[in-house]
Amino acid sequence: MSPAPPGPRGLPLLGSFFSFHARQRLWFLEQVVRAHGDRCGFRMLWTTFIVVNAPQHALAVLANRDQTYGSQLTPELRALELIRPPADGLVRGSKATRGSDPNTRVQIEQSAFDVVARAVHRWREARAIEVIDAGGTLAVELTLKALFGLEVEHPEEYFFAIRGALTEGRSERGDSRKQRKERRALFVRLKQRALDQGPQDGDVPTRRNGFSPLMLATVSPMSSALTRAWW
Amino acid sequence: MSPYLLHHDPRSWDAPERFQPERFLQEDKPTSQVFLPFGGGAQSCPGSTAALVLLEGAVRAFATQCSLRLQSSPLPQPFPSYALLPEKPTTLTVGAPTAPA
Repeated sequence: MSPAPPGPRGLPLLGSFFSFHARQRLWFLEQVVRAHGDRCGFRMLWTTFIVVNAPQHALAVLANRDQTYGSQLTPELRALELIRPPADGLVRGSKATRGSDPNTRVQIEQSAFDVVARAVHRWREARAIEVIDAGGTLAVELTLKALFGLEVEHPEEYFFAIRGALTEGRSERGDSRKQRKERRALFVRLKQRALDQGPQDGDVPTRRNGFSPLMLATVSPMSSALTRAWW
Repeated sequence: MSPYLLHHDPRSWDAPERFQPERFLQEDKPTSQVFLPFGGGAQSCPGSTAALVLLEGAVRAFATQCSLRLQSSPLPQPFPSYALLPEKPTTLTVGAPTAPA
């Protein structure tokens, strides 16, 4: 067994649990790296975290040894297989992802411009926006419309549900437990509707009201927490 | 591995806290080892190309359609969650676009 990496000893059993959660988490990481070097680690409860902060090791961690470090991706891939976007939308989205077709690229760029310009018009009427809510809602609209040609009536509802699912059980700024629970319940309802619909081959990616299974496929790579919690 | 720490490392970045988009236009622009907004290897973001195309349209719209101003100071602290978010609720004032210089 290899020796533990250098790092803070922390408390018996708990390790650095309180130090990590008590103040800014990034501040904690910065302090650990500053005190113990670019390759260090800390323990929280029964899990040891290895911190690699050297650019020259980035490639080793992310590419050369991804089998060692990449196991968390599996449930997300499984989720993507469970819920598929409409066939046409998938083709358009994958073209955009590869970036190989200049016409598609121009269309998508223009479509993104239109979505944001519409949102900005709404925001200017409201005069002020809250960054996370407005930005998250816009991200939902933008991805669905520009990549898959879909519009939903209340994109903010999707964003709140997704955010609730992603953050459930973790401390979030300004959120009461009740709010998190409500968002989680909303997400469960939306997910059930998606599963009831099931993947539909040949779906036409035009205006659709209500929930689209695509929504989950689009956002699921955002965090493994989502899939760990719900699939 | 924390992209935030790598992206704020003074050994790799001059004035890491400053918004200096022109640093990506220079010949010795940041390499993919120190700039990993989409991760890397098998776990890298499959939508990175699409995201960059979307961002081109989005930035064009933001720049030509409005001006955004932070209502309070100082800058909010970053908080790592499902994405890097401001730690406290942060409000922006949305106004008419400013004329190009």
